[in-house]
Amino acid sequence: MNRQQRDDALSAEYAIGTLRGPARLRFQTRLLTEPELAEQVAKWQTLLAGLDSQLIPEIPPDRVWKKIVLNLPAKPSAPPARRAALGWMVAAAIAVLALFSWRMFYVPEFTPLTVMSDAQQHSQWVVSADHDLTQLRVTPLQPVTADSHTSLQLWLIPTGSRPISLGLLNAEQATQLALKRQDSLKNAVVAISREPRGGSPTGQPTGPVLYSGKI
Amino acid sequence: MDKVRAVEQVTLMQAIVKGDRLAFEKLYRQTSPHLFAIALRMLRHRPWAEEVLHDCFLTIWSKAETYDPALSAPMTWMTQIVRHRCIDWLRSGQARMASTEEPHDALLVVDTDEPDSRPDDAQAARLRRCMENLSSEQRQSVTLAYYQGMSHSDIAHWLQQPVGSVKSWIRRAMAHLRECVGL
Repeated sequence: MNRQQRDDALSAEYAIGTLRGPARLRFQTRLLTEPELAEQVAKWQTLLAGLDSQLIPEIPPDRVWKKIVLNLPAKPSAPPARRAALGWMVAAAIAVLALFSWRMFYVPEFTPLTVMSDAQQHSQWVVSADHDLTQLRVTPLQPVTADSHTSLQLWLIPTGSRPISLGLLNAEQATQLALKRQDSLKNAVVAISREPRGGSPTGQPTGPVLYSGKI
Repeated sequence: MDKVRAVEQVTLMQAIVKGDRLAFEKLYRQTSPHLFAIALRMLRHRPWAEEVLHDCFLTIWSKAETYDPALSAPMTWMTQIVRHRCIDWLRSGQARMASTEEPHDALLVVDTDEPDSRPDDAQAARLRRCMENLSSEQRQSVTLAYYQGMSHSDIAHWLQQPVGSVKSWIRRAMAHLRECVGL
């Protein structure tokens, strides 16, 4: 099989849906940069769409649209990369400013402890605790894209110990979690990992760590 | 699909790129019944189909700028998003644990008796005629892959045949369809 035949076979498999796993991901990456391949795939898709022509349409229940509207993010008008980076820097600056002004001017119920960031410093979560250190509040500064198959789980990692699960987080708004008396926050690290829906099955992080911060 | 509809939907897609929510709602109203039917056919579970549809429309909103009208109709592009999302869903542990149902036999037969109601369905009608030329194994493998989102090994398991045979049936079937429809 020469390269063209191989690409042709891959295009057909991708369109019909039998190309799976890492092979599909590699192929999808190629589609972004290889217009001829994209054209080939589109031809197959158009051909196979004929198999759907006698499908009886079914109006989805109203709640689907209502939920879409609730979750629809604002669409940025395709900013160039530099502007995007600037945007994140401004967001980060506001986050830090908010953190400090909050500390200086208010006596809040919840005091910020730390900010958890992702590796690219693109998004942050503020971790705050109440006066008695019995409650923790974790707030995303940017709504995180929710994935229906997975959950975000918060971990407390005391120095030299194994991670302790503090619970699952809401990707769009603040989550309040109870701290146990033995949970020592001193010099601990807090981290969020992506876990199967409902949380880690093992009691220890199994997925990638997306955000972390030191208290 | 109706060509006039397709042109209208291209315009809607261009408006969506600019963040036009009304255009997005219009596209949803026009296309969601068809896409929902596709998701239902693949997942055979209404709550899953609803969730997949929700996720896919968020993807359509955020990735609208990657749609290229020179390549395919918006409906074809959206169908691909829904089908791949359904396949991922079926691969996920949740779906595997719950999946006890067997493929719907009625879907294994491509209905050819139905008259073509829409004039633009000429290519679809041709495709159905070409499907009839396939051997029963080829036809079954193609329909299981396309309608049910089955992988090569799922189909092999379902038909109790070696994976290698399934792969070559699908490959030959696709080659025949392309030639027969005139791609």
